[in-house]
Amino acid sequence: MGDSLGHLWSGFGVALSLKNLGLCLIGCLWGTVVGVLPGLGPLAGMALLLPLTFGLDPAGAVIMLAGIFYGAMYGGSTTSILLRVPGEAASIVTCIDGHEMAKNGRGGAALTIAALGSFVGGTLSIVGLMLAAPMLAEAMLKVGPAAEAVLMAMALTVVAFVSSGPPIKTALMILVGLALGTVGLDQLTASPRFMFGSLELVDGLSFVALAIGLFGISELLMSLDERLSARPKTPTLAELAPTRAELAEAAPAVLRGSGIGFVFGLVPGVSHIVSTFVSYALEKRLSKTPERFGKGAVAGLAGPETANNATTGAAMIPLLVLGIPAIPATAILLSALMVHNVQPGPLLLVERPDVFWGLVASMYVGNAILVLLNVPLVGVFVSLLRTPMAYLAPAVMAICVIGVFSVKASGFDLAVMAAAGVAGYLLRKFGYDVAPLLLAMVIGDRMEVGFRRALTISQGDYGVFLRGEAVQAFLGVLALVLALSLGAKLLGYRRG
Amino acid sequence: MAGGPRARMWAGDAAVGLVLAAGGLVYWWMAQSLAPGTAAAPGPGAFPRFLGLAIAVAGTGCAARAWLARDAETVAWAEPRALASAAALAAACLAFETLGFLATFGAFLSFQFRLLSDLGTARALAAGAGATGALWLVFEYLLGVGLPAGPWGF
Repeated sequence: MGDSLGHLWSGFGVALSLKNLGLCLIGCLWGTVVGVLPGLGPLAGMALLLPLTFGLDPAGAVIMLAGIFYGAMYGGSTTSILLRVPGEAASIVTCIDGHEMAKNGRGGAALTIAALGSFVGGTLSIVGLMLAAPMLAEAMLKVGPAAEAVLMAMALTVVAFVSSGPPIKTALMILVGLALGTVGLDQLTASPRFMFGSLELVDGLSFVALAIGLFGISELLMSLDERLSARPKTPTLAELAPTRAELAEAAPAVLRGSGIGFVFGLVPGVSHIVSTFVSYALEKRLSKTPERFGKGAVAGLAGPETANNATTGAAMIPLLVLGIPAIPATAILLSALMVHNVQPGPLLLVERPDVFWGLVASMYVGNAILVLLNVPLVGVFVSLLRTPMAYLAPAVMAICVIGVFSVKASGFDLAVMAAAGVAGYLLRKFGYDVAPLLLAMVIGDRMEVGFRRALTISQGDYGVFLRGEAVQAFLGVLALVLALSLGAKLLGYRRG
Repeated sequence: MAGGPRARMWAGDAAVGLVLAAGGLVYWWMAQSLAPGTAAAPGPGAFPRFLGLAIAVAGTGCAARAWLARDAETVAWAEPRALASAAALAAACLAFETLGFLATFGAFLSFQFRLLSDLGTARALAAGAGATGALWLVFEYLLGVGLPAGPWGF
């Protein structure tokens, strides 16, 4: 603990430098904007600015990208509350009671409660990240290739089971993602695989092009199907203050939401979305007045909104300590780190403490920036919603093209992005979630390498994937997560 | 709401499953040219061979699941504006390096504004040119992103 505080102090030295503070501010503001705008979420927002981080040092790059990540979580609540339009998927539950509060004339108070809950949830999850990451990193140093392969397979299995769609559809997306991840030179033998003689594919398909296509472009195409007709009313400063009774109702929900968000944030997949539904179901179950849920219950807003933001710190643990992006947005952070030759994993804390602790400290700073800026600036963000999609969508598409092109100046990557955009549009139309595809593509090569190395070391003994303390620990975690997921689904069914 | 042709949700769902299953079989067939190795030393073809078959099975499973649960729900699968917008984007991506940023995006943005907004042709052209110029200033001039020039030097 003492060590962690000492490192955190040095982390604040990195985060509070004028340059990194500015990058954090830019990230938070841009994140809020993409969270507010329907059609853009944290992943597209981060992917768009990724090329701009190439000229920065690694700490500055991840500080800015992480700011976009948690800024988008904050921003998503604004449209949910004022318009009943979730800026991103994790804000769907916020719509239910948040918008009802707005209809009852308590929109300003709802925005403040959401911002305060987000701040508390975000901050508590960073404390958890700070305490858990060093211990987990030390344990992970003893893990061999067999356990690493099991860990990756476990992450993908969990994604298939906790996803909101049918497991077989998610499994299909995971398998397609794994197949896309095999394109390029084989990591162990340098044999070309599925390259069709193209040098453009030596390093595999561009993750950025696929991410922007599957999420950004497909979302923009989807948004052309719909038109926003509502004009949100901007709350005045006086309307932003919650009453004492509202704060008293929100406080325990915020604490419970922090815990739920942190636990679910550790689970790869769509954990930030699932956590909001679990928090809502729990608050409704614990409430003395469950009939108020759906009609503007403060706890129904505060719990899920807090849980949503509490996943951000927890989602950094698998990324930074295990090298596994728990959700697609953290896969962009992984890309940014790897572009700067920083390998996330158990050695990150030893080899690049400036990056790890600078990021942790910047998250404290960023959460404070967001709560200080977002509430007074809510009118500015709401005015963004008045920009018609007819102008916004083409401009964002143009920025997507520039963003992908600026990574490698490759026209081939642009073709990949356009194809991925159309594929993502059609897949989503017919109920296929594309997030697991992207996660599988990112971690597939490590799973394959671990699998092949383990078999080579054990001379073909498949039992190596069942033996050893680490392997058994991962299998135990898998069983626990699946049981929790089943429990959460049962709780959801019972409470509607 | 969305216009354009509508498809039965289950039919589209099944079609996606079958297309991916077929893709899995093609992938598996292509993986035959990669060395599978042995159990003690798996080669670069081992994982793709497994994946190809697994995709074929899962894709068929998704198609069968959709067919068994077929209901009356429909979905607009090809909203005309979205399709036209996607086609314009694909064309812009292909022309980007050859024609350069200014010409490609001047045309792309003008087309999109004409397609999506209620601007007339002349206003859409002006808006497209203005937006392209603004993007060029921000990315080429302020942020230093190297945007391609066309055959006429800009």
